Amino acid sequence: MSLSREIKEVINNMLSADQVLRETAPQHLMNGEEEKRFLDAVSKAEDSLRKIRGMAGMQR
Amino acid sequence: MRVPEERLRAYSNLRRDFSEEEYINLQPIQRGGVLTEEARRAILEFGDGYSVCDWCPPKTARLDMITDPPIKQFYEDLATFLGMGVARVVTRCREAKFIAFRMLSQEGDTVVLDSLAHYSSYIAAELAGLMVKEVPNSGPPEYRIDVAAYASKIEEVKAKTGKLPAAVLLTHVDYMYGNVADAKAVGKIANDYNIPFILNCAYSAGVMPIDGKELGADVIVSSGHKSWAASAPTGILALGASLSERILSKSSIEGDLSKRRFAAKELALLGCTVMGAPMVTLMASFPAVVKRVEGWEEEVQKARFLVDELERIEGVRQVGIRPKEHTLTHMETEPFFRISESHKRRGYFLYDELRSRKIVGIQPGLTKHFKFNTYGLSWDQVRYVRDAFHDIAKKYQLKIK
Repeated sequence: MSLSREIKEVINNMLSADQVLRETAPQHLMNGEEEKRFLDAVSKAEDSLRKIRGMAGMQR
Repeated sequence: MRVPEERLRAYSNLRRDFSEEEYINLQPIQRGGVLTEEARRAILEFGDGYSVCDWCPPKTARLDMITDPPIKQFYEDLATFLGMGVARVVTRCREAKFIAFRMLSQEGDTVVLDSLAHYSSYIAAELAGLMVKEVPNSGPPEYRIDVAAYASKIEEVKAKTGKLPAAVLLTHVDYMYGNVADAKAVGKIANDYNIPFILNCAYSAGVMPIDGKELGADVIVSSGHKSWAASAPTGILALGASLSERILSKSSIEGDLSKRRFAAKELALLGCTVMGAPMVTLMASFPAVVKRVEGWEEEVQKARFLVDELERIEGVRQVGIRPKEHTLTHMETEPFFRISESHKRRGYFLYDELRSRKIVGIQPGLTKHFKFNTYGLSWDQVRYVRDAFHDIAKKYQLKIK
């Protein structure tokens, strides 16, 4: 996957997390399923960020 | 001319005050246009100007011929979904109305329309050079359109002008009371007179099931940003097979020097219409829209629930047809108006109270009556709105039954 595509993966996954916020506004009292969706999306975004650091040669 | 830097700074880092992530937004015109996750992703891919035109076919360079992204297929599926023969995406519902009026009439003709029609229906008629003849409604408290009166109004036009009206327009769901008009009855009348029937589905198609064939509609117009989870501007023009050639007739003009012709272009659309981000949001949300109309009855149940709960506040009542058949709701709220008369914020107190509870969309300053729309809210969110109104009522010593 290209660097650009991986960056879009981060944004898309954060949009998935954001979608849960939309569905639970304004209090964001998430049920089990909503919390799982939220955390899964954040984890996937984190995975993509790690890949981006590697692809860009910036991995410590 | 240079624009000063301090003025240009106003355009950087644009942010919306009332994001869907932070607030419950009850704005009547906004609920059905909230984007799906898929649509928000699509903006990221196709936000650039002519991005959908990468694979525009050179021999028939037209938006509806593009297969990647699948605009051609989308138009076919859109028509099928609405029970019509042909569909096009235009910039707005009002443009779709104008196109239909313009292509179905001669200047000076008349269109018969309901007296709850949106102002843009009148303006579209005016720009098309048409007169309007209005069909009355029952007035308070129901404001029900007298659909049977379409026949007498058609006769009035015929008696006065010697011609039948060029078209009949019905606003399926009106913007003021959220009443659902009997489209099938109007369709039958129009059909009996052989007059084209334009059904304005700005508040219905995309949120509730619509079958144009069953309703006898010759033209369906709708609004993507109002009811199809799409960005503005997106309008829908769907046509029965019998009128599609007439309304989508091709350009015939020829340059007197160059002899250039544009015979592939659909005249009334001025060629291609909605390119880029708005179009792809409409397409990306389409699978969700197809699915969500099946949940319409539950959406209506939520609206009825909230009406019942608000009417527990003594003196509050819903106006328009009861029980609600649509999620757009108009309430008369005299008790809140009485509070506003002695409140230091006057009519803005209700807006302030709601906003402090993270609810927006009730028009600031209104307390005597207001509109809201619950479409797409979860039951938890609807109950949250109920609790907020009851909380405000208690704070100001209003009686809750």
